[in-house]
Formats: sequence, structure tokens, C-alpha cells
Amino acid sequence: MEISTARLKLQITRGLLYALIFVLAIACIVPFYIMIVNGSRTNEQINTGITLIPGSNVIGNIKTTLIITANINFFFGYVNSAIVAICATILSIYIASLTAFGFVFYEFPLKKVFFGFIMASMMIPAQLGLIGLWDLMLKFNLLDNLLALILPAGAAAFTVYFLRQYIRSVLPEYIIQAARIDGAHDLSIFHRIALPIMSPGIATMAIFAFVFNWNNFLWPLVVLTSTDNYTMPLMIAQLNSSLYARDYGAIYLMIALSIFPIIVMFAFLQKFLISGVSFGSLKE
Amino acid sequence: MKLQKKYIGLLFILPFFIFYFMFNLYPVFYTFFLSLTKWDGFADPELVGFDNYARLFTELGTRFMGMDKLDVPGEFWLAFVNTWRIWLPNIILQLVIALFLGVIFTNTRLRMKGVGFFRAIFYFPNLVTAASVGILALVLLDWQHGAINQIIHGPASNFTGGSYPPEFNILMNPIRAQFVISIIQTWQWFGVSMILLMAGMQGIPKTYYEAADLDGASTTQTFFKITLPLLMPVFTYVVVTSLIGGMQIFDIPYVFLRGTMQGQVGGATGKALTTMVYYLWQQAFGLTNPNFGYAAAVSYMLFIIIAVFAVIYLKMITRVSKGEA
Repeated sequence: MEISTARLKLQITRGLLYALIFVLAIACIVPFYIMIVNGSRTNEQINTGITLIPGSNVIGNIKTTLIITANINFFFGYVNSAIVAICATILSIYIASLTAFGFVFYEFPLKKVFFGFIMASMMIPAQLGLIGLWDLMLKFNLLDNLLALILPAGAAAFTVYFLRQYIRSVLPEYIIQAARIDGAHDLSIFHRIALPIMSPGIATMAIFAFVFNWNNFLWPLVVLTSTDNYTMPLMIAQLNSSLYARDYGAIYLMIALSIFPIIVMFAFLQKFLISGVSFGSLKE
Repeated sequence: MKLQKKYIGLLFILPFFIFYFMFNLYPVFYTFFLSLTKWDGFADPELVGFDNYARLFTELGTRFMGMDKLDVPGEFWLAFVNTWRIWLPNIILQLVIALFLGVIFTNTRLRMKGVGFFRAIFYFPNLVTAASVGILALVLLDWQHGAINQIIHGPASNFTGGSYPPEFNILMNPIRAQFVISIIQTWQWFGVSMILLMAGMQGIPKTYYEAADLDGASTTQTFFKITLPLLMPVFTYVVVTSLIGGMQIFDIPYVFLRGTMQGQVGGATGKALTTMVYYLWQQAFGLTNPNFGYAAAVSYMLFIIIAVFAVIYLKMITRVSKGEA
């Protein structure tokens, strides 16, 4: 008798907790769901109230989108964002891998000082050098150029830190030594042996780098001036001006289009993402 | 051969440090130099010593309260207060939700199912472009056409003239507008905090809980006496990273402030959403007479503020945990 009441109590608690968790999960999803539903409805339908059933005006809204964004080339945003995110990711990951490899397997003068720089730069707020970096790009004549968004990615301190820890846990030194005895060159050891073994860690960091560079807002806003060079977040921020006819269906659709690549990434790669997030807390 | 060997490691880290010194360290130092100048972005910077910093502390703004003219702190300090009003409710809510979920999901008696699934769902809003989230929030909160008013009040056609009365415009009230951004921030970040705190909770040895169970400790006692103290390093990591990010909040306030949708955001609300980084951006890139030197000083001031509050927090935490031991 005693046991069964305790059990019942546990069941009730569990049920209530599931209900609560479910409400939170709904809160995370519903805004996006309304976005998709309204993105497929006409302006008039949207004004009549909300519904959970998608409409049938997707084609109409795409047409409206093309018309109202004709002067800002909304779809250039995809191309620009893809160029920036892909190039920045490759640059940051390749350089960070080299650096992490160097820190783990080599001794060299001032090693501690160099590593200190990496630790310090992880604690410095990103905006601290904003004005100076803008001035540097002005001097390089790179303002309004996508290169200004790509080049700074070459110094990704957190990625170096992460990959250094990662190499230590997956790549034992004897493998490197064995390769050296076989007469392999340092750089080819890195390319042929280290990189393949590091690839899961590299994938995790690459996804974060891609998302970060895709979502980045302040720096592109400061650097880019012509709408043809705008990345997707800048394009979407433009939507919010009185310039465009208030077609809500088209606006919802454009928001949906702007985050579509992120949704796809999340659907396929969430395991990497979540394991990458929890790494942060396990540092010490 | 030996000499060469000594430098191979340096060659591996060389590319990173070229980028680092050029695009990271140099701009940080050059920003400090600029903070000591008056510079409009075209002519040569003109050295003015610490004038820009003095301006941060001495400049007063004016507000009218009825007939009375009041001297209030300058724009930067108003931005400082705004940033805190947005960050503080957000971090409190976020920690409460994240800790609660973490405890439920790691509790061995409850043995909740679907943890991986919910964790993924809660994490998702964090990935979505902040600018898109901001615009989506504006459309959902749209006074006349937004889904939120439609959910709360029913369709607009129920009201006289087929439109909602002005008091339904949530964003017209500055305090509510700030709180809307706090909620959006909580919504975007509680999943991340939960993942981090959960990882920390899973690292606490099971034997502690078993011992507490044998001693007949309640769930609340176990949480405050075991979980929370042992979670402090992760908890601190979550709070400090959130502080660093929260003090630099820009994207969503920017999108809201540029929101001219039917005067949805304007006047008082606009002032209430000017955060420190928005103010910094405005001084350099949003004015017809920009002052990059002053903006650079704002950068450094913001850095100092973050550092000071991080240190205050760490001092507080060590005092509390010493008091308990």
C-alpha cells in the first residue's frame, strides 16, 4: 500500500513535469511554425487571425517577394552569406588545426606566451577592436568587400583551444613518432595522419564557425555599404523599413527563407552541435 | 638540423599569429589610440588626451518631467541602464529554467524519457539568426496584424473600426519593450545554459546523492547543499559568458530600433532600447557627424564595465561559497 502511493505520487509528478517540458518545447517551436503557416497565406488571411493549417499562397508570396525585393536583390543575400560563411569556415578551421597541432606536438621558444595570447583573446569582448578593425579595412581599401568579413576569421582562438584539447584526447604521440621514423615530413604528417584523425572535432568546430559567420551581424553591418554585397542577416534587417508594401505573407516567407539553411543544418548535425556546446563547461 | 627542429613548431602556429596580430591585437590597440583622439573618419585623427573618457562621465542629458527640466545621466549611462534592464531579467529567468530542467533531466528517481529530443528542441532557437528572430518578433508583435495580439484578443474585426485600440501596442511601452527583448534572449539561450548545467550535473559523483538519500535529505535540500555548490564552476561559466554577451547585445535592439512599422517602435521606446553597443555603433556609423574617437572610448568603457562586473561576481561567489564551508 505504502509503496503504491509513493509510486502514484511519482507518476503524477512525472506527468506534470512532462506537461511543463512540453509547453516549453511548444514555445520553442511555435514562432517558427506560425512563420511557416503565415508565409503560405495571403495578407487578407493573415489579418483574419491565426491558424495552424498552412495556406496555399506560397507561390503568390514568392512572386510578391520577388517584386518587393527587386531593388535590393534579396537572393544575393544567399550567395554572399554562403561565400562568407564557407570561406571563413575553411580559413579558420585550417589555420586553427595547424596551430593546435603545433602546440601539442612541438616545443618552441615562448610557447607559453603564445598560448597566453590565445587564452586572453577568448576573454576579450568582440567589439573592443571594432573601430580599429574598421580603420584597418579602410586603409586596406576592403570596406564594402566580402574579404573584410572573411580575413578576420583566420584568428579563431576558441577553435584553437578546442582542437588542442581534442588532439590530446584522440591522437597519441607515438603515432606521430612512428610516422617520423618512417621519414614522413612534418607537414605531411599533419595532412595525412593528424587531419583525418581530428576530423570529428574539426566537423564540430566547422559547424559552429559556419553558423557564427552566417549569423554575424554587427561587423557586416559596419563594413558593407552596397545592398548587392549584403549578407542574409543584413537583407532581412532591411525588411523592416516602411519602403516595402506591407505584405505580411511575403515578409513571413522571407524570414523563413533567411533561416532555412540553419534549419537544415540543425536537422542533420544537431548531435555535433550539442556535444560542442557542452565542451564549454568541461574546460576546467 | 637541431636548430631547424626548434622552429618547426613556430612555423605551424605562424599563420594563426599573423592573422591574430593583424586583425585582432593591432585593432584593439589602435582602438585605444583612437579613443584618445577626435576623428571624423576622413581627416587625420587629432589627439585630445582623455577628453572622450571625461565626456563619458561628465556629459549630462536633459529630460522634461511636466514643466521641470531635469539633468539626467548622459546617453551612455542611459544605455548602460537599458542594457542591464534587458540582461538581468533574462539571466535570472534563464538560470531558473535551465537549473530546473537540468535537475529534472538528471534526476535518477524521475528517469525522464526523451531527454535528447527535448535538449535538441530547446537548443534550436539559439542557432537562428538574431536579426531574423528580431524581425520575426516584430511581425508577431505587430500591433494590428501580429499573431500575438490575435491570440490574446481575438481577430481585429471584433473591435470597433476593425482594428485594435492603441493600448494593445505592446512595444509602445518602453519597459515592456525592454522586457520583450529580455524574453527573446531567454528564449534563445536557456537551452544552451541547460546543456552546460546538465553536463556539470552529470559530472557530480552519484555517491553524494546516494549518501544524501540515506540521510533522508529532501530534493530541495539535496539541490541547495549538493548540486548547486558542486555546480559552481559551470554556473560561473554560464553567468560570466552571458554577462560578456549580454552587455554587448546589439542585433535585436538594432532591428527593433530600425522598426518603423506603423510607428510600432518609436520615441520613448527607441530611447529605452539603445544599448551600449548600439550607442557605440551610432556614434561611429549612425550619425551624420560621426566621432570615431568617442566611439572608441565607448568600446573601452564597455570593456572595463564587463571586467569590473565579472570581478564583482567572482568575488561574491567566492565569499558565498567560503561562508557556506
